[in-house]
Amino acid sequence: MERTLTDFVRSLRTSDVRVSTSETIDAINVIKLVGLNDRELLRNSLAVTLPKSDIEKEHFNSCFERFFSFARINEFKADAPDEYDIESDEDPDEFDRGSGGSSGSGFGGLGGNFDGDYDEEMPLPDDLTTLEQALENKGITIESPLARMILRGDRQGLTIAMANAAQAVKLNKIEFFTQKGIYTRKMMMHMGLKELEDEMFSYEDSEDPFERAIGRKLREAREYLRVEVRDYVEHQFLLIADAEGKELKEEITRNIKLSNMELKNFSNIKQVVQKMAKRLIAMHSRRKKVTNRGVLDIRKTLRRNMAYDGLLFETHWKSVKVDRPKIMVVCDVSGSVREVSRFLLMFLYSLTEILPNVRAFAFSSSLFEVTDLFKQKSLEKAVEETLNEYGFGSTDYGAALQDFKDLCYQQIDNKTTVMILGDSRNNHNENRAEILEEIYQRSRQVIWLNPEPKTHWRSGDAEMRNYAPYCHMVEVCNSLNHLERIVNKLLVRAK
Amino acid sequence: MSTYDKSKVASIETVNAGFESEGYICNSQIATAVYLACQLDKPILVEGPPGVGKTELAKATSQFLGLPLIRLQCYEGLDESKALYEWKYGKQLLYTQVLKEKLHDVLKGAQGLAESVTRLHEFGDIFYSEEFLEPRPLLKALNEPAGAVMLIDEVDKSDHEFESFLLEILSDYQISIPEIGTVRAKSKPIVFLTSNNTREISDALKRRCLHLYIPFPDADLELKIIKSRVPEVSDSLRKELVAFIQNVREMDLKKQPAVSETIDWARTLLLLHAETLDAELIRSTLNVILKHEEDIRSIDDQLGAVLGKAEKAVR
Repeated sequence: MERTLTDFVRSLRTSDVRVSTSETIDAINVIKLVGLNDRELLRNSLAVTLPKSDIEKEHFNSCFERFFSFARINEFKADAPDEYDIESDEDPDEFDRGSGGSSGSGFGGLGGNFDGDYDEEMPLPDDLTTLEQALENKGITIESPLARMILRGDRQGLTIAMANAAQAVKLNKIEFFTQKGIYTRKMMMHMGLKELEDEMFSYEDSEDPFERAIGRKLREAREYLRVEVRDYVEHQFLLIADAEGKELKEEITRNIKLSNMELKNFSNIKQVVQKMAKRLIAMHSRRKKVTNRGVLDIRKTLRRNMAYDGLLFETHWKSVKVDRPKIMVVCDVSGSVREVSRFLLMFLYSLTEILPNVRAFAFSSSLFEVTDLFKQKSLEKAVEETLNEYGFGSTDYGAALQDFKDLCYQQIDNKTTVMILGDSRNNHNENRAEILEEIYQRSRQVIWLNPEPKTHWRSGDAEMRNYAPYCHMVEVCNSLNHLERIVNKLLVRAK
Repeated sequence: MSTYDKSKVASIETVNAGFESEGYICNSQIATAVYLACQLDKPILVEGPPGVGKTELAKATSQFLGLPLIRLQCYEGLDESKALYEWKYGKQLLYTQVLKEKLHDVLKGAQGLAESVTRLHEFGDIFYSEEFLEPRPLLKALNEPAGAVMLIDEVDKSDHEFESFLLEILSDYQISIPEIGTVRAKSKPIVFLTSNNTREISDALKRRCLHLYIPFPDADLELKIIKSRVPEVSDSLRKELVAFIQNVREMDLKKQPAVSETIDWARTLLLLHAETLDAELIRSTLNVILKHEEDIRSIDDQLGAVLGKAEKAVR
């Protein structure tokens, strides 16, 4: 039971439910208490023990369904076989019933299941029971236990053997869909495929047509086994590795260049961005009471207490001043950065959620404040609207900087961080770097994030070399990983 | 050990029936959670939208098990001196005064500083003892000889630091007081924590608790709840109003009406001697179920459609 549970926990973990070891132990205690008989009860009980938020509960439910349904599918197949014709021929019931030899009526419909070429040179009776008899008569016994199991239709034994094999070949370590084939093969080998095949080949090579027929029978058995094991692996893969595949995809998404991403990945990116923003929020939203920590300020204390006749009555502490950072983000949404501006805006949006005092601006040639828009609308709507209203014009950094200065030069002080997201491609307009210099002088820091690689910064109409001297930090930022790193740095500094 | 009647929580069915007799109608998830919490001595973290009966669950449990309910309302700035314990400073001061007067007698005839100090030591360390301890809700719950139901309400409103205070209580049912030592629970209390999800609760806290999410009830459950809470309302009206509320919840609102609001509304309609719902009646009582002006306005516009849908659902 513990093993099943740990497997279940593992599959929970891969579908984004955080389960700690102590919770697993709790779950074991819970199962001891409620037992395994009542599925609904078990689900309810584990639902309060393992997942710890309503989103996790949803994942848990789907995971529970998938994980604890395997046995049922197997049963169903045994009752109503469709693709395994051989299996139906070897239905154990009919086998028992037919041992007397008078099984004609019971097999009426099943004879047709055999392949045409099987019947062609068919020296064997076409039902299993008589086959078994015939084998006995001839004094032939099939050696391979695996083959015997299949021919007998021992589904239970087969399931157990499969589970054992899965454990032995460490199927729960499967990661990629390309591994399915090799795991299928390994599992079959572990179950005794070799013996079966040896026997099959030896019968097939035989002179005796009867023995050749047995060989064919064994080949069908092998085919059946292959399908079964493949299904099993498939199922396990979905359970175990699909989520890991998802993680891999996420990892790739994080590293891929923003401009190379297509719109179809949009939802995926949105998730990654939100996840990232959430992590940053969790890391930085924690309000630490820095102000109240510190050592006794003896000089001040003495001075304060002069009034009390020198008795140290009122203490005075050295305190740390926490300054609330102000951030102004200016985002280029012109034609030249079309591919990335969507993501920059998305991140800008998330940023306004993380940090308390963020003002957001967007420009192509003239600049507009979008802070209120971001506050009111949902992410998609806000980004869409910004792009539609202000986006895709021709760039003029000079004009934008002038606008920016007109709009909020007064509000820039030594606590303000100004962040500019853009490629500095100015269409050979006037660059007005002197405005940036003024901002540079007045603000706490100016950060420029450029989606283009450094080598392009001096080419064509790029003005980076003129702007760079007036920035405290100039960084390439064209993947989500870059973004995260930079924002993290920023947040640490802002503290 | 806890002295409440263990047979009351012997199975999920008895828990369910017990709650029902207290007028708290719950689904099997809630009953399972309470059952497990009692059996495994684990706290329950209850989450869900406001007004679905999170606090009510703790109250019902305390009534059902006949245990005192000790409630701690969390808020920003709540600290251990308000939640765990505090020293009775006034009493300590008084004691100092008494000691000062007695000091002369105590130290009479003492030779030198060393002997005086020794004598003072003999005097005892009652300054920081249980007598001078002012128990706050959490300590009170641990000291309750027969066990208690402890409700830590809206834990998400408290600070991060406070969550860490809770960890010791929640996992071991004990509190460490530096001057005295560890105070263990006389009998383990049943702990409920509620959260409205205004911020993420730390994993450390979540790990120690069973997690119960109470969503808005479905129509059947809500009917039962109304029947139990406001039994005077006629069957047809009850069906109508529950169907209406269920439809309202599907709309895009700032704050969706919760069960408590449904109950309030049922009482309001009862007071107004209403037999059936009609547009005029709803319009005049809408402020009972909706708490935002814009919500009321947006429902007002679509009142006909919502009412129509509700009527269809009843039939």
